[in-house]
Amino acid sequence: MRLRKNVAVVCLTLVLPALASGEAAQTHISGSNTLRLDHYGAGGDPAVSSYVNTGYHWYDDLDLTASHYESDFNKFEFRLNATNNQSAYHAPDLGTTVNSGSIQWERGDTAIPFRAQAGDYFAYLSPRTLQRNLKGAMLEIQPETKGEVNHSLQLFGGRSASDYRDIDLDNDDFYGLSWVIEGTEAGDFSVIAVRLDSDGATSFTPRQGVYSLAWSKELQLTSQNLKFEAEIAKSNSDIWNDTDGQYNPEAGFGYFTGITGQLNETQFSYGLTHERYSEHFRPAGGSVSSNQAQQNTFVNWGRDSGEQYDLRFNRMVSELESSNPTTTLLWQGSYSQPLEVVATGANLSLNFTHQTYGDQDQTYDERSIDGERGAESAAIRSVVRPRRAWQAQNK
Amino acid sequence: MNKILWLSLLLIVSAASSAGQFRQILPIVTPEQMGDEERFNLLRYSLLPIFDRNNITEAVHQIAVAWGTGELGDWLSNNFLNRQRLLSTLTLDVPRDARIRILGIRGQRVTSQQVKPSDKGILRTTVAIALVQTQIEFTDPSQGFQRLTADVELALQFEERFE
Repeated sequence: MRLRKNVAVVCLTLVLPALASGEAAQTHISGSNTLRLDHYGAGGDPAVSSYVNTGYHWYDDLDLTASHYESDFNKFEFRLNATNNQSAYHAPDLGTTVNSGSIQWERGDTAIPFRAQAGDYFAYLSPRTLQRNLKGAMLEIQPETKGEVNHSLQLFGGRSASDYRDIDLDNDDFYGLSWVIEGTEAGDFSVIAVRLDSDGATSFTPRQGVYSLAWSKELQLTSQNLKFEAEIAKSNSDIWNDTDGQYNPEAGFGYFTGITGQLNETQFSYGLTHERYSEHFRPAGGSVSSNQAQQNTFVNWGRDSGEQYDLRFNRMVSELESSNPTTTLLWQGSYSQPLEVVATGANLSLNFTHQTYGDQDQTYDERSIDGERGAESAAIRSVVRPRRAWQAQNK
Repeated sequence: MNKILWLSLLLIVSAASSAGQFRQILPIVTPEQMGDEERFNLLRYSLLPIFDRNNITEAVHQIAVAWGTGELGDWLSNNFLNRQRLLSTLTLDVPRDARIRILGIRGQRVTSQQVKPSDKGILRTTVAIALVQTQIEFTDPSQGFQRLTADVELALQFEERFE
């Protein structure tokens, strides 16, 4: 028997009012403080309770935002989020810590418009280079150019950590630059260079450089809005070699190409992508996996009546550079529609998934299909649920 | 002006942005760009309500529900890395009775915000992140009730339209 109880005894939120002073220069301060006390109890066998830690747990969350506008072109912003956590459920560690904090200065009325930021920096450059929240500093300049072409150059450095308590000065130190050019006739471009220095305890490599060149171009072709995208990336990593007993430099390559399209004034969209990453392409701050290739295709159609159709195909080759790569084929489809059968509204959705996989050596015979190589699995799921207050979007 | 027509959410954990594979420029406003129309728009934008951080909390809970009902795909960006792999794992490998419980949400913060005029008013796009303590619960046939906890960072994109 499992019995669980969750009682919020106190939930107190204080919201500071926004302040404004003067007409030219303005300062706004807003924030909230949430103090929450919960009591968890379990009857019966505690081993089968959802809440292992019973009793009282509390935390205090402080969130502050302050912005100061000297003019429309000169502004400062300060953000702080800190927690005093005495709850086993709110965060992994107990005690007081600053989760995030940043100071930003943005100025557009100088010869070179700039944005300077210290503290938390959202370094989402591309999946093949760096996608991390960093705690450090960033300087961005946007030199003015004639015509429609825009430039943005970011220089940054910082460490990857979920809060300021966890920062280890030796670990995961990223720094680099990102240069984006938008609005040229040939499309938009991105140049990225990222360097990692680490003691190797939290990363597979103590030193790594990742460099990429990316391009995208939107085209209006008859009634279709098309977008072409491509990125090619190279990494240089020091990787441990058991045979030599030392780190050896290894180069890796990765690339991505894709096209997505949408029919004008409709909710019909489609896409086709191809990506390939070599065995040693392992960007420490990126999101992609090494030694694999993937092709993805999707078609999505939404109707004004609320019906949604979605069909996707994925082919993935893993252990790409081994002598026996594994190929997985995956089909997925879904259909959903509103059901106007009750006053509050409901939604019906049907999903199917079909997957087969196998390798060249036919080592999956024990899970075979009709005695042939490979394995197969499939599932169909249907759900009826109350309609959401919010609308989800595939983009 | 302050009426929200709809609010949509996009989980973009592994995407640079919902619209592309790499970083997009967040423009810095300069005097040269400031015509009468831009000045009027800035005034309109200044009247918008501050983005409500409770949206982040509510969104995380909705995503948790979608995880358990096989509807997570509705919330994932098309650029979400290994999107289909994640969804197929949820369908084929995760136990049918598995549910995800949100134990705690902290560190909610807005990382970027863009406001621009749209056909029907004003469109405000907000990217926010949150640190979420999760617990997956299921019953294993041989080992009984199981709990798997994790500390994950979610990147969320919200779109709000104002009349």
